[in-house]
Amino acid sequence: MNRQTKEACLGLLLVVPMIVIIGGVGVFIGYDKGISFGPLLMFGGTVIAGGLIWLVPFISSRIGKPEEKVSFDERDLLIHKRAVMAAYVVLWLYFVAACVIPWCVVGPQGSISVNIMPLALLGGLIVFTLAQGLATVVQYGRGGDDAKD
Amino acid sequence: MNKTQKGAWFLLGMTVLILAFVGVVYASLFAGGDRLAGTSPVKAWGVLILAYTAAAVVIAHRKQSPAEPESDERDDTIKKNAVLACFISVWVALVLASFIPTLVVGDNGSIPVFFLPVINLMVLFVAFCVYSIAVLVQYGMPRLEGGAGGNGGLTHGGPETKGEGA
Repeated sequence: MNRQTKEACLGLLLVVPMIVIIGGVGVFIGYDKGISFGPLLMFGGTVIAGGLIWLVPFISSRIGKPEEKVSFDERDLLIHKRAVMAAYVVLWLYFVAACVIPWCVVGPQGSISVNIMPLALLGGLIVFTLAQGLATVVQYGRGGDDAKD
Repeated sequence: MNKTQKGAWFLLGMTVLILAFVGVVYASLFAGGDRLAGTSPVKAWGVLILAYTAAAVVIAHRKQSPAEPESDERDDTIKKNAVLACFISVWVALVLASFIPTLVVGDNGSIPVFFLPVINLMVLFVAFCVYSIAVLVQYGMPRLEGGAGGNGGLTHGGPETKGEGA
């Protein structure tokens, strides 16, 4: 198991519960006490950082110094790219479902509380993180012993 | 102008046309008169969109020269960067879409469910626009003197090309 596989497993085991706890607590504090800076920061920080953390390998591969020890090569970058692509496809399907299911549940003339929207976004972030982690693990797992350090 | 640029212009134009079409359809709902009142502009926009699509398909398939390849590595890199920009914009649009209704109707408000697919479509159009603009910006805008169009004309030929010209 190489570093990227370990990070993907860590993402599945640690990042998803962190998103649920920090973002969920932010949403429920906002729902219970009203929107203020604290819960907004918790929720906004979680969704923005969690939703854009996949950019880090792309940025570090561009600004990384060539003389540094190689820890993330072109194959890793390709696998990461494919994992992000797969995760975005899953995210898009999730949001289509999240838009259509309420319509089916409450009927075309119905309405839903606006407090559902941040929760749907949080659910999207969890789905995205899960799909990306699984896609990374599956891609490294397919290559036999290639994923060893 | 190569195929990727033409595709980006087509996507951008189609997005603008569809948004305008949605506006025309919305306006026709409130037109006074009989049941068919206000449908003429809708039909006209529909014909315009079909004509635009047909013209775009013809133009996109016309090559600058018989040796023009389908795409090369630079085109692929530009498309990949545009997709990254598109992904970022999708996430930002979704975050905004979850906050804006709360700001508009308040903490305890509610929104009609038919608004949810509209949000989804808006995010899709934002993604299309960002992708097209990212492609066009990376190639450089076309020059007025009718040249190759920024750096877009310099992509063909060479040992790394693939497709018909390779």
